[in-house]
Amino acid sequence: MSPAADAFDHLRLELRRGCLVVAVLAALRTEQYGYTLRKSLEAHGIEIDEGTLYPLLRRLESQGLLVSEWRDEDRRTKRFYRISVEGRHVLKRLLAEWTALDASVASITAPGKDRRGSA
Amino acid sequence: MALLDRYLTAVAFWLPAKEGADVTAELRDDIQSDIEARETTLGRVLTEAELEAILTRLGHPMRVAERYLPQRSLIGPALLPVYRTGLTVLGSVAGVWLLVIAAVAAVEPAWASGDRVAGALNQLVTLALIAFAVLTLVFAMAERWTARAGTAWTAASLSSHPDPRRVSRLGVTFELVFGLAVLVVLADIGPVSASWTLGDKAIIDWTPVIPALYWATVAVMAASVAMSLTNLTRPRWTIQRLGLQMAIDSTTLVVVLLLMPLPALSVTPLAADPDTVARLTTIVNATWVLSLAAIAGVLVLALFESYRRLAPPPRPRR
Repeated sequence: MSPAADAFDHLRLELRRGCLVVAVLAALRTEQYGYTLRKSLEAHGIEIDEGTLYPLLRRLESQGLLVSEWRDEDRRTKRFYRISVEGRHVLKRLLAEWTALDASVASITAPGKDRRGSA
Repeated sequence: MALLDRYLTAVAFWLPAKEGADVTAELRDDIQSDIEARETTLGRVLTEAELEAILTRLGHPMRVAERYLPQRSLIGPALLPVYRTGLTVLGSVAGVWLLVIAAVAAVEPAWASGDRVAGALNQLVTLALIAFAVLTLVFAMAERWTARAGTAWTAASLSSHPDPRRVSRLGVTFELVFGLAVLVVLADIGPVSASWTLGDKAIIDWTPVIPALYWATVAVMAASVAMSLTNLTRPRWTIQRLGLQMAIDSTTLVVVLLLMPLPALSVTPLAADPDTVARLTTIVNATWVLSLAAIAGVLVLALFESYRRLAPPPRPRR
C-alpha cells in the first residue's frame, strides 16, 4: 500500500470514529442488542466490526449515555442497549455540532474556494 | 472443547475476571447470531473451516481483548525519547566498560587467566541490568508525577526564548543516568572498603578515609538524582533549585579538595619487586589525584554555570 493510501485509510478511520458515536446513539433511540445494532448500522452504510462496536457501547454506558440489560430472547441471553435521558441530551448537542461543522466544511470546500493565490 | 469456546476462553484470559465473563457472553451471542444468519442464507450448517474463518476475521484474542481495556503506558510519548537517550547513555557506558575489560585482558594475559574475565563480565551484566531496572522505574515514576503536576500548570510559567534557565534535556538525562549508575556501583561496592588485586603482583585498598565518606557520597549522588529528576519534569531552573544545586556542588567541591592531598589508596605488594610496587603506587596515586582534579574542574564549571543562571532572565515578550 502506498503512503498516500495508508494515510487516507488512517484519516478515514479518524473521521469515522467521531461519527460512529453519533450513529450509535441515534440508532439506540430504539432498544437493540449488539448484533441487530451492527446490522442496522450496516444497512445505513456504516460498517462497524464487533471489536469496535462492543468496546464503544461499554464506554458510552460507563459515561452514562446508554443503559443496558441482559434478557432472554430466542433461547439465548442477549444484552439490550438503549439511549439514556442524558444520552438524548448529548445526542441533541452532538447533532447540532455536526450540522454546524458540516456547514463550515461545506463553506470551505465550496467551488471557487480552492483557487491558488486568492486573497 | 468447541472452537468458539476455545476462542472465547482465549479472549477472557486477557481480561479482568469480572469483565471477561460479561465481554465473552456478549461476543458469544454476536458470533452465534452471525453463524445463524449465514446458516440461514446457505441452508446448511457451517463447516469447521467456515467457523474458523469467522473467528480468524475477528482477530487475535489478545488484540480483541485489548480494545476493551483502557490505554496505559509505563512511559508516555513525551518522556520516551528522553528515556531512550538514557538507555543509549547507559549502553555506551556498558560498552566502554566492556572495552576496558577486553583491553586489560589483552594487555595483561596473567589477569585474564582463570575466572577473572567471566567475573568481570558477570559484574558488568548485573550492574547494567540493575541500572536499567532503576532507570525504567525512575522514568515510570516521573511519568506519574508529570501527569499529576500537569493539572497545576499555567501559561505564566512559560519563559521567553532564549532562556538561560532552560534545562538541557540531553544534559539532564546524562546527569540522571550518571547519578543512577554511580548509586548502583556504590550499592554494589557497599560501605565496606573494597580492594582490587592486580594479577598476583599487588593489592590496592582504600585507606580508611574513603569508607568514612561512603554515606556522604551516597547522599550527594541521591540528591543529584533527585535534582535531575525534578529538572526533567520541570525543565526550568528556579532560584531555589539553583541555590540547592550550588550548595550540593560546593559541598562536593570542598570534599574533593580535602581528599586530594590525602593518601586515598594503598598498594600492598604480593609477588612484585620494590620497583614495580613503587611504580604502581605512583600510577595509582597519580590516577586518583587526576580523577579528583577532573571532578573538581567539572564542579567549578557547574558552579560558574549556576552563578550565570542566577542573573535575572530576560523579560518575557508578549
